[in-house]
Amino acid sequence: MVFRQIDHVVTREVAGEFLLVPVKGRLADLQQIFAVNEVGRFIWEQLDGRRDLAQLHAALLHRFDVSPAQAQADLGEFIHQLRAAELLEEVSP
Amino acid sequence: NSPAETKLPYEKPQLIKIE
Repeated sequence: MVFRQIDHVVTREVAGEFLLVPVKGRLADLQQIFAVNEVGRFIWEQLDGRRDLAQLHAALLHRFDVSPAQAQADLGEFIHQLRAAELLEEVSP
Repeated sequence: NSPAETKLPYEKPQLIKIE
């Protein structure tokens, strides 16, 4: 499965926090601002519509000190959260 | 003939909705 960030999400680093702000039209949706931690930011930046979950998993293992099983479980859960927040869309093969 | 690459400390990825 391959996912990509939806269009019209502005990312900003503010006071050490990495924020995702969906923008509709010319206005930011102030009811839908999200923050991600460092690992979340790393995953978010990999979601370019070209890498599949296996490649994301490998990238996590390469960058962070984490077991394969832990990375697999957390990656799946994080992707689920992003989809639930409508920040991700699946790319058709 | 390379130094082991230092990996960053891991924390569970989190998506936090700011109210």
